[in-house]
Amino acid sequence: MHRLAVLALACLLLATPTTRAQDSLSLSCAVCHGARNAPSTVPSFYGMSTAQIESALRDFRSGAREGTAMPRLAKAMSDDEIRALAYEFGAPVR
Amino acid sequence: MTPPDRRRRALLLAGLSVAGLPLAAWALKPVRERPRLIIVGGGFGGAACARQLRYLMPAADITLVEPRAQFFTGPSTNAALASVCAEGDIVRGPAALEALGIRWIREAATALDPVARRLRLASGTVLDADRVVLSPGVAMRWDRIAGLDATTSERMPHAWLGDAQVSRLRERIESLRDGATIAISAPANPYRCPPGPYERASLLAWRLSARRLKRCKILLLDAKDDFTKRALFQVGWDTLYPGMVEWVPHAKGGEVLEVDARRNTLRLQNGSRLRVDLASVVPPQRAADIAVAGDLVDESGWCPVNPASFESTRHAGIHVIGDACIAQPMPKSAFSANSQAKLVALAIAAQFAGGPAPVPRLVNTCYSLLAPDYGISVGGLYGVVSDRLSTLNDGMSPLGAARELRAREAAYAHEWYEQITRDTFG
Repeated sequence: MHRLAVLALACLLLATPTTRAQDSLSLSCAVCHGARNAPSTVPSFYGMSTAQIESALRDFRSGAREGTAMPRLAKAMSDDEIRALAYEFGAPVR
Repeated sequence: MTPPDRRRRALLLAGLSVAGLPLAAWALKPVRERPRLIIVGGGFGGAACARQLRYLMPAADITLVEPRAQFFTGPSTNAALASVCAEGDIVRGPAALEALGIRWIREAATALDPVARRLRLASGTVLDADRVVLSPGVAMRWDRIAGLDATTSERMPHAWLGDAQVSRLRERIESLRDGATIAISAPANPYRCPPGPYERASLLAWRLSARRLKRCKILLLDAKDDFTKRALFQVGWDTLYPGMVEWVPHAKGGEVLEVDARRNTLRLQNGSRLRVDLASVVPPQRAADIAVAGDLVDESGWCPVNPASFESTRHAGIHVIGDACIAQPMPKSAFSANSQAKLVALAIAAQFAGGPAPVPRLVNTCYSLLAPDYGISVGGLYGVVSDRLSTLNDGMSPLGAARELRAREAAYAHEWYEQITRDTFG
């Protein structure tokens, strides 16, 4: 029984599309966007929801939203990478 | 890993395989509980790598070898030279890493046995490591331009290595008079900071214009026929400093072949001999000496690496990042070094944890200032395609943009500098 519960939990964890495990892409964001709560002239994504970040990255990728550095980067991002970044930096839903 | 460790691990693996237990995780996991990680070089690559390794491997024994307590950063050096900012604004160093529990040894590494992973320091101290990350930067090739060596270069300062030449060149620039001719040389690729010579010409023109020295002339003597963001720079020069900056490409004989530093003269490939009031000669470059001593460079003078982990293709367990490694199409920039540092930290942490290797995704953005309120940029996202480091997408500032965009990018450039130095050095 105990073993089954562990197995169920493991399956649940594997089924979650993204985890907060840091990856080489998300670690580069702070180079321009800084740390949480740092004042910034570069547009900040801190405080945005997961959905807002996902939508902004998709718009940069499609060209619907203009920008300087971001469209160049977003155009090479996969759906999974955009979702992972949005999950990583999106504010928790209250 | 020492031989007894290896034997113990082999025995352990043999026992487990008899028992039929899954071995994949064990096979990857070294037995040592407290891995010894040594990072050589405390610049944008080394400091970022040490910091990231500390976060990812709290139990590891992490040592940073960097003799300089402080240096001028490559980024913003041109701004300091042109008095856009103060020299003090671009001084950074690795001191804050100590508070994270990283051992900082203030010495130069003089020798590296890449098989034993044994590092020798200037004092004779010997350090053994399970993994070595080399982020040693570049060295100048003094055998390429006749008459130019470490001594004569002091009179024609490159100011490319964050040392006292930065102050010297700044003083020389401030003492220029109207009508002066200034030569800036740009080496053949690859070299540290591809847009650097062109940004230097731009900001020098800005400084001379601000001092109303409008009859000064800046010659960019190039060993190449093209350079990064060329059209953007040339439009900017025409707009901001008409007639002041002249680019002499390789095809027009612009390569500097010989200098006489005492007489301030340069002999070009086109046969002409120029006498100038100030020359800043940026020499051809290669990977720093410790990379050569560690048998990590190939015939190009740079270090070949596996692009997924930046582990040397010549010696296992040694990673090379930053300007010293071959990471084309990534430019040799601070951002590239910082991005590579984080990938390497993730790769090393995964190896020791027995986890999957990270998916390599590397980022670069290079800002250049043509004036304090006029910025341009180039950047891209990089990944590994068919075992090669490849550009997944890149781009640069638009050619026909309003001044408002140039001003915004100049503000971003300033912000980027503050953020990356905080992210790297603390």
